[in-house]
Amino acid sequence: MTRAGILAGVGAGLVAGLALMPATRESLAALSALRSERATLALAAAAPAAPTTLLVTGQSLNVADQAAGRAAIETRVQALSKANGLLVEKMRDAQSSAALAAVSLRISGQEKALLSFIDTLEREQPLMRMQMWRIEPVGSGVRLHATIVAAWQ
Amino acid sequence: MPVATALLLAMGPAATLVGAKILAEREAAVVADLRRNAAPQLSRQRDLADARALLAPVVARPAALTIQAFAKALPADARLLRLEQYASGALEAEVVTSDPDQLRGAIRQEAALRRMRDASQRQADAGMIVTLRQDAP
Repeated sequence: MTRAGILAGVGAGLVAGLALMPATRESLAALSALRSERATLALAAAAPAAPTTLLVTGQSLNVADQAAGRAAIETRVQALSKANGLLVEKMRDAQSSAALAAVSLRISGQEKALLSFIDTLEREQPLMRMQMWRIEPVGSGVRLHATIVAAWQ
Repeated sequence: MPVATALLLAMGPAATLVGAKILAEREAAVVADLRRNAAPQLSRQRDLADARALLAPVVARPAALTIQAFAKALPADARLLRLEQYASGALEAEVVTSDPDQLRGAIRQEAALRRMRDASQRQADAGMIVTLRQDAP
């Protein structure tokens, strides 16, 4: 084992190490990028555990799907329009966010009866709201166009 | 012996390189898996955020309150032609009256309608038709 031999070995080893450096650095950078992406995704996947409900408990319809939610809205509308002597001219499913059930409605009758209908509709639990609406006089009464929404989950 | 020394020295960086490659491969598999699994939850989060944005303004302000406030505020000779709340939450009212100034004064008096602003005014057979508007909250 000569001194010159060892020096040559050290030199060659350092050269080889230096030659590998760019590739090593690159793969380390790729690894750290993947790690941070994983951390972000894991965080996003874990987050919805908390805010799954839209409203305070008891305010959502708590039914199986959007269609059942629309049915619940229609049932309340029918019951209240009957109780107030109003005429449901048109009622059909409406589009809304996936978490909401929506029904569009056209209903008319005496002003006082219609106001009582709206008041009760929005006051009863679980919560339903007129999200978009228009009231106008028609003949001796008033007509309401409305989209009624509720959280169905 | 020089060869052994050279190999020994070069082994460090080489091991780092190979190790990083192996780890990155594993990590990529995990990331792909997470992406697949997280997709439905992410879209659900978006749905809920949409729904909240839609519901928040109407939950805070039931339509009945708005309508009653109008019924209370309108002067005797004024008549509502249209009262409308848009999807954005903006509110618009069209009122026919013989005295627009009195109408504006009466609306301003009503706390729930204080944000209603004059939008336009036009002459009609029955009197002046005043349009009032309140922007989305």
